[in-house]
Amino acid sequence: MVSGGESMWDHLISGFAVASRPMNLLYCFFGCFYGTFVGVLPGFGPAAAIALLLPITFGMAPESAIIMLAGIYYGAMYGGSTTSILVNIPGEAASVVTCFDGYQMAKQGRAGPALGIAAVGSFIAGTLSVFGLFIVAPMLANFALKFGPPEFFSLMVLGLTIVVYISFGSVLKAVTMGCLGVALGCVGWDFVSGSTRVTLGIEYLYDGVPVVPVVMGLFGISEVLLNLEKRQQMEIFKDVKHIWPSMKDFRESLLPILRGSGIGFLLGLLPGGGTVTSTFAAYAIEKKISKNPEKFGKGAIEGVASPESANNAAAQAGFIPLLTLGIPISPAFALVFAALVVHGVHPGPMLLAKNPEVFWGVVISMYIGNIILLVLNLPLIKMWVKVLEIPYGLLFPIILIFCLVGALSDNKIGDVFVMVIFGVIGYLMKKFEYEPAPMVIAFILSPILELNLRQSLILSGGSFGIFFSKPISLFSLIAVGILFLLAILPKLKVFRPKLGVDE
Amino acid sequence: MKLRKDQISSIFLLIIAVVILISSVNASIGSFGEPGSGFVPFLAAFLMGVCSLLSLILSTLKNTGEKEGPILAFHEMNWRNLIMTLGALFAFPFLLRFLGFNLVVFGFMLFLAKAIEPRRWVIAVLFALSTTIVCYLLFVYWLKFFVEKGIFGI
Repeated sequence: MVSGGESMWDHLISGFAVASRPMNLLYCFFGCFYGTFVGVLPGFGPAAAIALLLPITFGMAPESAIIMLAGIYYGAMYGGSTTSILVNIPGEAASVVTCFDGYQMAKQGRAGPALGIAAVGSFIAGTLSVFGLFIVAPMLANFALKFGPPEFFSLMVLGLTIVVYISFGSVLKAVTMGCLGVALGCVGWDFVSGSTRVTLGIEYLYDGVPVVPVVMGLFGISEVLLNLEKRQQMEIFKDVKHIWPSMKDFRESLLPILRGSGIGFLLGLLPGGGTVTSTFAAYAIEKKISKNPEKFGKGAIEGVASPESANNAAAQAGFIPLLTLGIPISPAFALVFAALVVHGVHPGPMLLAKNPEVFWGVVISMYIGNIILLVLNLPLIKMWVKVLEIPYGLLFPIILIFCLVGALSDNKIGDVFVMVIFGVIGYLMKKFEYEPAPMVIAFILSPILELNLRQSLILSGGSFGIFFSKPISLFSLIAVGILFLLAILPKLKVFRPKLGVDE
Repeated sequence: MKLRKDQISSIFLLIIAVVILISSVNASIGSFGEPGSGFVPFLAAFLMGVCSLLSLILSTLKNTGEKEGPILAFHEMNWRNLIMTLGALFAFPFLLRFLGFNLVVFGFMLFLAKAIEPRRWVIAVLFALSTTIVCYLLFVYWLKFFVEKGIFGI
C-alpha cells in the first residue's frame, strides 16, 4: 500500500493537522481569495494567475505552496460564475455555459439566486469531489505502482492526445504545438549524457527554457495585448438581492447539482478539458432529461446549478491524475506539477508514500477551501461586483508589473525577455488560431516523457514492441489510435468537441 | 500570390522544425537501443515538421472561395497601445540595472497610466507610487527578492 497501511481516519487526521496549521489556513484563504478575484476578472485565467504567484511559493513548505495554488485554481472556478451571471462575459472558459441561463436570470431580476445557487452548487460539488478524491486517489496510486516506464510513457501520450483531441481548431495545429512543447522541454542539459542540446549556442538556454516566464507570457502578457486591442463592453447588473435561493430553487437544483458533480468528477479525471467539457456535458444532459427543456436558455436555475457544480467538481478531480499518476490535465495543473518538482516533491504513485503530508494536507485543504469560498462568494458578492468595475486601464499595468517582477524572481534578466517573447508568441498564436495549452502541457511533461521513452527503449534493446507488450500501455495506445481516427476520419470528425483546453 | 494565414504559420513552424532537427542531429541522436540526447527532440521536431508540411499542403489545396480576413486586422488593432506596451516591457529589464527596481517600477506604471488610457497627472502619479510601494513591500521586503538598486542606490 502506498499509504503505509494506515486507515482512512489516520489520513483524515493527518491531513487535517496539516491543512489546519495557521499558515496553511492563511495560504488557503489567500489562494481562494486571489483565485476568486482572478475568476471574476474576464481575460485573466487561472494559469496566468498561478504562474504569477509561482515564484512566491518557492520559499514556502511544499504543502503550503500547493494548498495555495490549488486554492487559486478552484477559487477561479467559483469566481468565473459571477462575471457570467452579472455581465454575460465568462470569467473563465469553464463559465461559458453559465452565461446561457445565469445572465437570463439576472435580466429577470434573479441575479441573487443565480449567484447563490452557483456558490452552493460549487460547494456541494467541491465537497463530494473531495470525498471522491479521498477514495479514488489511493486506489489509483496503488494501481499505478505497477507501472513501469512504458506504461507511463503511453499514458502521457494518451493524456497529450486527449488534449489535442479536445482543443479547438485543427488537429494538425494542436499536434504541432504538442511537438513544439516537447522539443522546447528538451532544450538545455541532458542529464543522462551530460551534454547540452537544442541551445543554438546560447549560454542562457543551457539550463533549459524557464517554465514560469513561458506560461506568464503565453497566458498573461498575450491576454493583456489582446485586451489592449479590443475591449469588450461590459454592462454590469449591480442590483444583486436575495442571494440565498428559495426552497423552490433548492428543490429544482438539488438533483442537477448532484448530477453535475458526478459528471464533473468523472470528466475532471481526463486530461484536456475537465472543467470546460464537463460544463457543456452537464448542461446538455440536464436539458435532455428536463421535463421543460424549453426553459433552458431563458433563465432555468438548473442551467446554472448543474454546470457550476460540474466545473468545480472537475477542478478538484483534476488533482487525482496529477497527484497519483503525475499527469497534469491542463496548463494550470502543469504549473502545480512544476511547483511540486521545484520543491523536490515528485507527483506520481509514490507521492502518497513519500510525502503523505502534501497529499492529505492538500485534499483536506480543498474541503476547507470550499467553506472559505462559500463565505467569500455569498456575503461578499457586492465586493466582487466592485472588482468588475476596476478600469482595465489601471488593471493591466498591475498585471504586467506582477508578471515582470515574477519573471525576475531568479534574478535573470533573460527570463523577462523570454516572458515578453512568449507573450508576443501567445498573441500571434491566437491570431493564427493555435491553442497554447497542448504546447504548455507537453513542455512541462517533456522531461518525464523523454526519460520514460529512453528508459523503455533501453530496456527493450531498441524495440518499440515494449509499448505493445504491456496491457496498460497497449490499452493507452489503442485509445490514442481511436482518438486520432475520431479526429481525422470525416464521418467521425463531427463527434470531436473542439471546446478548447482548460487553462 | 497572397499567402493564407495557415500557410504563413506552417512555413514558420516548418523552419523551426528544421532548426530543431539540425540541432538534435548535432547533439547526437544515438540509436533506438541507446537513444542519445538529441533523440527525443529529433522525434518531436520530425513529427512537427510533418504536421506543418501537411498543414501547408492542405491550406494550399483548400479553396473555399471565401475571402480570408487579414491576420492582423488593422482597423481592430490599436498599434499605438501595442507598441508602447511592448516597448515598456522590453525597456523594463534594460533600465533595471541602470535606474534600480523602485524607480523603474514607478516609471513603468506612470508611463502606462499616462500613455495607454491617459489619466490626470495626480491620479497617474498616485497610482504609480502606490503600486511601487506595494511591489517593494511584497517582493523586496516580504519575499526577499534580490533587486537592482541602480546608479542612485534606491
